[in-house]
Amino acid sequence: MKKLGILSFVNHIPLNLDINSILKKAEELDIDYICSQGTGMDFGPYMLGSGTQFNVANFKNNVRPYIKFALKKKIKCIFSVGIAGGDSQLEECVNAINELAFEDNYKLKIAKISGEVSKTKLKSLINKGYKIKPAVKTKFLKNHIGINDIDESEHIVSQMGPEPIIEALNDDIDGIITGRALDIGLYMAPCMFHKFDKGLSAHLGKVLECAGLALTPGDPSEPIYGEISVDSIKVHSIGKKQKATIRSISSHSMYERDNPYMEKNPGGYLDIASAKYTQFNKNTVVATGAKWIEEPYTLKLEGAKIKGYRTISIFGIREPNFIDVLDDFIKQIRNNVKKSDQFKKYKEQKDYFISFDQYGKNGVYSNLEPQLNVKPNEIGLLVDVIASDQNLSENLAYYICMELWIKPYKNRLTTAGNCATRFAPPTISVGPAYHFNIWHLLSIDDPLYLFKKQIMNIPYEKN
Amino acid sequence: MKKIRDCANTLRSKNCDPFYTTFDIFFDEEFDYLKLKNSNILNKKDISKLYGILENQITGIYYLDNILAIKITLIKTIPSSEPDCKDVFGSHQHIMLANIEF
Repeated sequence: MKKLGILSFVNHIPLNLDINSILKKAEELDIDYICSQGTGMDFGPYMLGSGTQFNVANFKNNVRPYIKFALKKKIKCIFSVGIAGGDSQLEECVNAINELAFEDNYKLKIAKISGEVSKTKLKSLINKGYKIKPAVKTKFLKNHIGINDIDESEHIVSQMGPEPIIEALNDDIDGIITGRALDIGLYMAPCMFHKFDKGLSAHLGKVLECAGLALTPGDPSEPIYGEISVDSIKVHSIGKKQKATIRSISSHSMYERDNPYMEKNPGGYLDIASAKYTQFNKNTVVATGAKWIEEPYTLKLEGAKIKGYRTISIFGIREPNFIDVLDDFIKQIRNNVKKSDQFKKYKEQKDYFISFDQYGKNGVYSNLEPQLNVKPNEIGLLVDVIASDQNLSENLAYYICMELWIKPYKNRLTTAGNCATRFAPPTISVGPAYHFNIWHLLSIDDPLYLFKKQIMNIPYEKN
Repeated sequence: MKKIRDCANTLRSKNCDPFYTTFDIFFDEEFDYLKLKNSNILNKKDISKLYGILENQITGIYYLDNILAIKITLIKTIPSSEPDCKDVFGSHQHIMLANIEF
């Protein structure tokens, strides 16, 4: 194989309105694989902890035209799915593809690869002395992960590298659906399977992973096309609204990474320090020079633990006399909570956390806001309570609401209520709030060991 | 004197995993890029003040001459989605940099 072409889209981003005409144009391209990421921890630990994702109707709608395209052109799909990419999300997405097969009348054979890490397996690795260290030096992550930490995580996933996908490409299948996976691994896998250079494969993955976000103007709802050859990668848009430029492609190569030259991945680094970009034509960029530097193999583990239970409340404040005193008023509420009979046995920062965000004043930056002295016309006040159980959380939020509503302040005109209350009831129970208690690197020689593969025929009968 | 916001083509912030915020600044004019680079205004001491962090929370300040770009990465004081985190994507942390004059 002299070159390999990949069509890339992001499967959790709603379809571009021009998708039909874009895919019609894509029919003229040499496409060998359709790759698409749908996992990531950008949305925080909530979905990992709760086992949920965005409504699966979104995923189903987004993948529909691409799967039809792949079947028509007889090309393989490689999708990571389900945001957090645990087993419950993976199942839900595979079910959605099953429904599509019934509705659109087709048959598929797929490899399904789980990204959820079995707690039993992980504990036995720890007992055997496998090394696990924090992926980031921060007081929020423990230096050592023990059996307790594993038990306390609601779910643990791992970003599989390209290797489990490469292994599955040996099977007689139409596509691969994975849970949590390294985004660029989805692209590296077919390139490496067809023996292209690993550094160039990883660079192509980096450029294609967010689809049209690497183009200008950046719009990740547009797919992107890229190909790899012996010594270069080549990328361009498919639709008319975007272009690939040296600026757009090189800047995306450093997107979302701490170091612009090096990206740590399972088994090594992508090194683009000596990458060179050339404008091939007005909508095509060619890049050369990316390298892969081998390192001992590690996998990133991600685990979400319940931090507490969240209740929120939203108020509008327009009265200038109240805005004048609001900072002190909020301090007083915090003090009153501490002194109250109901709550004095609890410790702030341990049993509960309270945030007051004053949107319109310093809601985004708090005390770091550079223009703190500007008096706003109105303030949107968000009260955010996280407490060790839902009852405490709701009670704290209600107590705060009453303080906000009824307590007097200097020069008050409005004795029937201090602010505009957006919702009734004023407190909204959000449920569990999670945090990442595991964000660690596991040293392991076998890149496949944690990831279960299953070959399935679709459609299957639903229960 | 110019503000970064008045001459940057792109100025963005974003999580790179829940524990880091990374800033990318791109310029159209080499003159502006070099002037900012050579001024050394973007140094650990001043940036840490603007963001209320310790100097050692800044993991790197990088200048990419070939694409007229600057990258700055810092370890967050409050990781994404921890209590009191006000920007879960870290996508709106750029204002303090935008207002820097050079």
